[in-house]
Amino acid sequence: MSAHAPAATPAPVRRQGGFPIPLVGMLLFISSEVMFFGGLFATYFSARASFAGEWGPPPPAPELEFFPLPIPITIILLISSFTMHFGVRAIARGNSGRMRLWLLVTLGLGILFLIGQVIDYTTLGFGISDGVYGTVFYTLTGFHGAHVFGGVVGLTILAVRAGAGQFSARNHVAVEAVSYYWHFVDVVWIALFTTLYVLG
Amino acid sequence: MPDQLIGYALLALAVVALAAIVAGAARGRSHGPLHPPPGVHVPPGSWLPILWAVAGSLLGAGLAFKPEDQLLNWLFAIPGFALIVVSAVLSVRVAGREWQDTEHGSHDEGGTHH
Repeated sequence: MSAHAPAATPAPVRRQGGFPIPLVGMLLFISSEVMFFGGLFATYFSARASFAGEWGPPPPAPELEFFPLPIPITIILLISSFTMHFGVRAIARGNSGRMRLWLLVTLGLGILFLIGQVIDYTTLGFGISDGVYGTVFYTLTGFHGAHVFGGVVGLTILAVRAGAGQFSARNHVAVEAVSYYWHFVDVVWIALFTTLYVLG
Repeated sequence: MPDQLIGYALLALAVVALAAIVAGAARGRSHGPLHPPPGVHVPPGSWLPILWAVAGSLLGAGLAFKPEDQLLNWLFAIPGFALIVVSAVLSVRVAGREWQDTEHGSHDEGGTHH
């Protein structure tokens, strides 16, 4: 490095031990998503507070039940967060093959969740146009499902790239970024499940 | 039906607005070579974010503007899903090139300077 031309020396994109810029981008994106879902939750609680009558699925639809699907798909999504974490840990140790395996497991669990949600929709007995409850229920769970679908697409891309050997212990920021997103989607579902199925 | 018409009108409006933005951005683009400062790694311009957005919008429209007795509006959903597949394939290719550049090309992060 020349002392005569300090202005020409660029700042590195990622300093040793610093926080990778793509992860900052993902965190900013997740922050915007928090506000998005915050708005949806606010809509739900606002509609619930101002609703005249008994809040819940419009008759003659039955009350929401934990079984046979909501609890199992919740457990599936929870497990998928752990498998995603195992994948990140594997590549951090340089084990690309094991990371790919965990990514595929996570991908499979995500697809299972989506299938479970679609099947659950067919058994609810009410639709999006059936009153305020139907609208907010499907808006909340539908947007969450869309985010899970986005995560599934992201995981698919990661799995393909992992197959091409494009991740290493030193360079796997995309895996970490998608894992952040996946954990966020998981947390949102916990909040959704608690709001819709537990609080009612 | 009027609700659906409003939905279609909003969708058309969004497409027109998007086209206007793209046209405006293309006209305002500087013609000289655009390179980041030495040592700074910036991905090149890409149409992929727009492609992803159009794909997602079509798929969303397929879910929203559907006949009562159908799961999806296939007119929107099939092109939307196809565009998502195309976007994913292109994204993998772009990421592959990026990986090559980062690992084997000149890049600060990689520590391999040429």
